[in-house]
Amino acid sequence: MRPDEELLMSEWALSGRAASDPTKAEAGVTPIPNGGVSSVSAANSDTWSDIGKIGLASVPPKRSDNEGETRLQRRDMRPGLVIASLILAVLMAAAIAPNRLADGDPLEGNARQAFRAPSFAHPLGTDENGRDVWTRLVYGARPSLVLGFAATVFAVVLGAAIGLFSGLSHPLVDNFVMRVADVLMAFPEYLVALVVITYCGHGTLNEIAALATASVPRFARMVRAQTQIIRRAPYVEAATALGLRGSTVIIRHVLANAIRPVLVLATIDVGLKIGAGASLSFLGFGAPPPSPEWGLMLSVGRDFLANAWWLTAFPAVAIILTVLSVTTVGRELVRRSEGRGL
Amino acid sequence: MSAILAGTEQPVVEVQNLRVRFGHTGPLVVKGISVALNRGECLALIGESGSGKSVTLRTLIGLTGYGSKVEADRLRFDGNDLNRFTENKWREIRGARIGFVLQDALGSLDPLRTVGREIDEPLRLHLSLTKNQRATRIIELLESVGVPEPAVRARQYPHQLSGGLRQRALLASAIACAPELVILDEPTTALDTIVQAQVLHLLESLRNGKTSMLIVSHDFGVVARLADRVAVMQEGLIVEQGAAETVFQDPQHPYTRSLLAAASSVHRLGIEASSGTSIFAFETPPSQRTRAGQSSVKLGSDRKTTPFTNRDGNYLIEANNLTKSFTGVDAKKRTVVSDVSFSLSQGSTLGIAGESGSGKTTLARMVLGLERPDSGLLKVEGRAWDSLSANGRRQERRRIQPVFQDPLSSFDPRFTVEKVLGEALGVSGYPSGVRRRNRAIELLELVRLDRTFLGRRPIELSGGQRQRIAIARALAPEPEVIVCDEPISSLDVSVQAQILDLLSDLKTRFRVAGIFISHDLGVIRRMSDQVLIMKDGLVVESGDVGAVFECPQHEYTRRLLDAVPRIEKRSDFVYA
Amino acid sequence: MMLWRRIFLRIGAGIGALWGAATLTFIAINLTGGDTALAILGGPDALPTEQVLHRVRSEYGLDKPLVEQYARYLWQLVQGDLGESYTLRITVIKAIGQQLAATTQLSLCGTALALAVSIPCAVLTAKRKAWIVSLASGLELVLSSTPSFVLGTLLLLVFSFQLHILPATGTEEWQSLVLPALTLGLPVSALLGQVLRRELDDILEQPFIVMARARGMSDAGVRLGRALGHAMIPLVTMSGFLFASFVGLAVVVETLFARQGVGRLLVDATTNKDVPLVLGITLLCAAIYVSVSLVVDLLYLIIDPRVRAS
Repeated sequence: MRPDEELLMSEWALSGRAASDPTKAEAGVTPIPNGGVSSVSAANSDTWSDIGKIGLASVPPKRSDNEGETRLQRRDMRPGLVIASLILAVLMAAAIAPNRLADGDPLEGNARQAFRAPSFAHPLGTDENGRDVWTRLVYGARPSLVLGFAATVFAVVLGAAIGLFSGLSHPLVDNFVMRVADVLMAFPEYLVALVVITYCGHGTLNEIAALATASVPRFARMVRAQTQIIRRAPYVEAATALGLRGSTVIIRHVLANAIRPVLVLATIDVGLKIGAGASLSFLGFGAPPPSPEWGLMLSVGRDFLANAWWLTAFPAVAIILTVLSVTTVGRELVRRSEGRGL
Repeated sequence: MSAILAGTEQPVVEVQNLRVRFGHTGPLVVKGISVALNRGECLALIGESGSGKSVTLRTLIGLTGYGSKVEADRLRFDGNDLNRFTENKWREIRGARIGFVLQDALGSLDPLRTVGREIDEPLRLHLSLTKNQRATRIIELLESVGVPEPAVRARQYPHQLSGGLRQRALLASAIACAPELVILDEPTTALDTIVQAQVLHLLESLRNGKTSMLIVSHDFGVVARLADRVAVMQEGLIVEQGAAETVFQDPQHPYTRSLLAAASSVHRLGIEASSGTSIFAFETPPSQRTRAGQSSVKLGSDRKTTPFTNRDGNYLIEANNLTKSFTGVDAKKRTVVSDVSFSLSQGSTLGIAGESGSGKTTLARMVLGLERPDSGLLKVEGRAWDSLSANGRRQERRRIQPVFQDPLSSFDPRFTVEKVLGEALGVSGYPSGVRRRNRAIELLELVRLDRTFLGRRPIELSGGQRQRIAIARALAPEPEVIVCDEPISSLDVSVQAQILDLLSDLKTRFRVAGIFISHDLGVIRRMSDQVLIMKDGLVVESGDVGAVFECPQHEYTRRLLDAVPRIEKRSDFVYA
Repeated sequence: MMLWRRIFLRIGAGIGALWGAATLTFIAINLTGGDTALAILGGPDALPTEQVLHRVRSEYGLDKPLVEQYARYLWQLVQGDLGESYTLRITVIKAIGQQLAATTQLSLCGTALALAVSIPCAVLTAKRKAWIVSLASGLELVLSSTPSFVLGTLLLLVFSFQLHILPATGTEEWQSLVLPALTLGLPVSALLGQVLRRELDDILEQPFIVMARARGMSDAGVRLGRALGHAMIPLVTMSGFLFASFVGLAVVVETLFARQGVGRLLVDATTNKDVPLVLGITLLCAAIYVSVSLVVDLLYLIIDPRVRAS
């Protein structure tokens, strides 16, 4: 995964060039020979047939120029993307106004209603304390999303700051910072998160801090690699040749272009962070039991696997759908920004 | 045409109404073409990128590509109906009866396998030879394509061979089973001039009367030397085909004519440029051209008020013994430019010619102040770059403006054309707002584009348009010198000619001095007054362009000049 | 000879990375700001007596200058001493050693499963009809988006509690290894499958593959004989990262299936704030990552002619 990211970053910088190189797009496009209005499609001749053709979060998209433009048109209305966006919209709604989607209290139980299987009154059943599972799931959306976004934002902000500082510093400083990041990246992110929790203790805030800290070196490296590439880009040299101030060139051209692709990639990280956060809650490092956290619900439901399947199945589905839709939308963003400079 | 009629025997390849598309509803990339190739004949498909020539070629070997849909009324190879071929049938003739050579020799050889194993593959698949016999055959084949020390080379990996040797090895693998038909896709495009000439010579020698050849190229020089017949393709259609001489001497279709005119004006040596008007004619309506003319007058008058600093007889740029070396990853020091001196006076153009790796680009970057020489002195208008403070140097930069090879990567991907030009104008003190915007429109008109381009992003434009924007940006700060580093080598032939015409037009109009870098001697000849011929970081010859090109003194210059493929070499017809 | 020089340089870099990792761990131990001895004992909540604190200080050499502590720490590491677990009252090395076999067994099964699923799947589906590619990549996307504790719970629910085919817990018979191995291997196989197919998609378009076909090679020959070899390169490059992340995955899998192992040890250590044990396991993972990457790089130097030359 990590080598891929490096690859991605370098591809990113070159993507515009590759996508528009007329010799590479021979079959897919029909440029007008006299240098007239040539095709935008040349830039878009990278095609992905479907949701997952680019792999995991960090897999750089590949173009195959021989494929036609039909898929290109189809890609804007892929059903997978539409469903993912809808799910995301519902999640947002649940996070903002959970009381609109579910009436009742996620914490208040009714012992006589315990372990009710899914029915008309309780579409997703009730838990061991007689609380409505649907209500608890709806109220669990906010902590999940907040955790995913907050952890990603912290990681990106810190990582970008370090990456930019390193990439623009003297090579000696840069080398030192990157060696430290290299060493940090030798530690698996999940384990770094556990180390942070060991030091800081349990709880939602510490969970966020743990997940964010763990991916800071990764983002730092990405931003730094991007900075290095863009510093040498012909457009930066052209700006230098115009006689612009060094600081102006860096702010106007280097910074914005170095961070942009990383931001887009980070959207995919949000999904992964939601999953990782749920894992930590599942292990008991998150908020304490009564709170409606999905990971925690799964963890508790595990004790009743034999007699109440709905206590685990529905939170599981909720987590999968959330991660899946955030990832899908994130990838679409990556796809769209690819080669177009956003 | 007569060749087809004269042939009594069946043609090797017969194609009628071939249509190729990608995807079920994709547009046709080949829109119904018909060609025939007789035994022992060489047919060339000529066209610019996107014309569908490579797709046609690949269809003949059944490798059109993933997701392609091929339809044809008739598609035959030696009487066999290729439309009905199964994959197994294809495999029997691929490599055995049809040899195939792709453009990029480095990419076409498996980097993890030795060259010998690659050549061995068709032998192993199609012939029943023992291992020893195959080994002997590999050596023979490498020898026959002129690879020195074939036994050693066969055990080497592609990256250990030079470009020319790789192309030869690839050719050896294609002709290993003595196929009746050899298909070549841009066989010399990736090569340096001298190597290109050698490979062309080899291809000529392979034409023994029995082997038929189908060759795709955008380079008229290559085609002129090899082809018996020529088919010109444009946007998936063959617009003209016939005997090579006929097509070259008496082109019927306007597209063929424009291509020939463009190619000759770009690449021909010793002959003055074609008249630019005919090429611009189909690009800009005359009304806009007059407006462009008017705005240029204004730039001209601006220029007069700027005091020239040439008054003390100083040169605009003077370089003395510039040397630059880089330290590679392996801690080895490589001298890229060594001891180069030249001078550039106002309004003149210096051409820098040489093959890849000769240090041309590094030299240009030093002139632009993007790279500092290790030793030597670079003076701009009599003042050394080095003597200026960082701030002072920054303020001098606008006098020397670059135009890079790859126009797209020289624009910030987020910027629109207006912002690109606006930034450049801001540097020369244009206040933002209406004046800057109007000036940007004037600049666009100078490079023969209109105001509708202001809101567009470089990625939405064609290569030629991007390069025009790049030139407009270079002109914006009203520089004294424009440094063009291979400004046309990423463009199509007909666009190349337009950009060159534009550049020389601007040069004469504004008396801007230029440094023009190219590997293409024809382009250098056309664009420059003085020339430096570089090889391995050294200047081997320099002087007046006419003098250098007409009576070259240095052995290397002579070899470079001889290697340029020329249309007139084959027969000395004259262009209309 | 150049090759030897580069091998030595690479080994030197590997050792440097290990030293860096050890240094970071040392900093982590001393980073707690307050009393390190207190942190080692589990923070202020542990309420240790003054005697215990004193004993810990002299035991860990905390009364000595920092540089000396650092040197002592490194020296202990070289000797394979990672300190003593506070909760278990045995050395960290011993604690890990007791659990390592179970985790190794699980990881190997997971790896085998991941490779057995991902390689055939990628080879069969790369550059095929759109619906085949969609199906395969859709499955991979779902699998790789599913956190392993969710996957494991669902597997348990279906196979142990609904169908009653496989046992939910235990470490004895082979059946008990099936679900943990699936939980560990499936997400990894999805990840590998994505990487492999992307590589294959790219490689199958390469000119040298087109040339191999143009010489009459069969599709199966091209896919297996030529493309797969190239596609394995990124897979091998990722192996250091994968091996190291198995411990992270084991944390969840071992907890879920109530198995013994390093992962379980780590969860307990984290819960009990057993700093030496947590850092010891983390350092072990870093060491695995660094050494596997080192081996992979050295293999490249020997196998790949391009790397050898560059």
